[in-house]
Amino acid sequence: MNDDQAEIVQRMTAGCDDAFNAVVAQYSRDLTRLAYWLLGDRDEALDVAQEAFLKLVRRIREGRFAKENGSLKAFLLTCARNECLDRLRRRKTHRGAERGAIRPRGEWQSQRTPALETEENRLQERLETALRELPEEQRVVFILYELNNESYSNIASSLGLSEDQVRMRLHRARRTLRQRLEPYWSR
Amino acid sequence: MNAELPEKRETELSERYNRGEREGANREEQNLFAAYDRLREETRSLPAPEIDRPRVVDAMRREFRAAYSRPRLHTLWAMAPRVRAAAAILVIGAALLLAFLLGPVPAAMEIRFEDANATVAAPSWIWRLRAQFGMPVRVPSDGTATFTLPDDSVVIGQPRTVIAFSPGERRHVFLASGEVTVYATPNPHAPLTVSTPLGDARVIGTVFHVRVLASNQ
Repeated sequence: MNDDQAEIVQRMTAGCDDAFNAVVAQYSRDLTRLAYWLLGDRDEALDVAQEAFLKLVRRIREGRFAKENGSLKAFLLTCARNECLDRLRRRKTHRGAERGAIRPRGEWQSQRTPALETEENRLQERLETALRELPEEQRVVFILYELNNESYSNIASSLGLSEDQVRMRLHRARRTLRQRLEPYWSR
Repeated sequence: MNAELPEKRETELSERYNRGEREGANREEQNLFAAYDRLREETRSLPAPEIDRPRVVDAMRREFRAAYSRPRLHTLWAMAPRVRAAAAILVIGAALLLAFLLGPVPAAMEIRFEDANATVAAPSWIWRLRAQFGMPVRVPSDGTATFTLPDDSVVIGQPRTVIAFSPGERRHVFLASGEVTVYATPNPHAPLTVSTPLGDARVIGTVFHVRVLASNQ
């Protein structure tokens, strides 16, 4: 834990509002990005992010955070990804295996406004569309690997897969996305 | 463009890319790795839903305050397993000690020491505890120990006497060695017994001496 983080944790332990604010400002986008692209649901992603922040508060209050020398970002991202994977498992239990694409609900829209419709943004939107259309099993592995920097073994143990299965899903996702986006990149 | 790359070949290259071997041997491999780089870069800047910051901060504040109003036991239980185990051992230990203290012991037994100059000194708490709970105690060599039993009978142990009191029976003294003088409060229904390795002495109410000599005396 670096000095800045140690100071934030110290201020959070004292219950300072500005420390809560600083943590939310600094990490909320990483959390909602990960949660949204794993779950494909804006409201759920926001719930997951909030729950991760509350877990952090509980951990700090119990005096366990500083002792474990964790990084704030790593702790929050781990909470969020675990919660997302639980939710994905519960979905499968309740509704049967959902192999489809992300179906955005609620008010989720791209952050862009028409005034910002640049070529770069159009390329980004193509990636978003391609990701939404990937089978969930490939998308989850791809996001955990590329967005959350996780190892094969970590992903495999979390999802109950073999490392070979993780590897294959990642390569297939990467190939699909590359094939869909490359024509636009080379223009 | 690598769209026509066979899947098996691309899987091998994708694996190499993951291992950090990103120097393509030819143009095809270089293009592929460049495409993966770009894919990674764009993935890491995917849009994210905007959180309602004041609402989340407010929830955190409430969570923080609620934490301090919860019962202490709950907080303790939420701690690390080691702390939980230590707390459990502490509680069990305290319960056992309490049971021990409230057990069948002559609670009113009074003990005091007198040295050769008749100076009164309080026995150490461990010594007192041993005597109270029926464990043998040795009278110091430089004085006497006076034990007043709950029925006001008095047992005076001479120097170096080893003696024990039955916690269950109020008028029972065990003399392992040495000498005691007993002032037994009269009670025809419950004789006072002094047990020695050689036999028991029972009295209803009188003053008597019992001496147990060591085998070489």
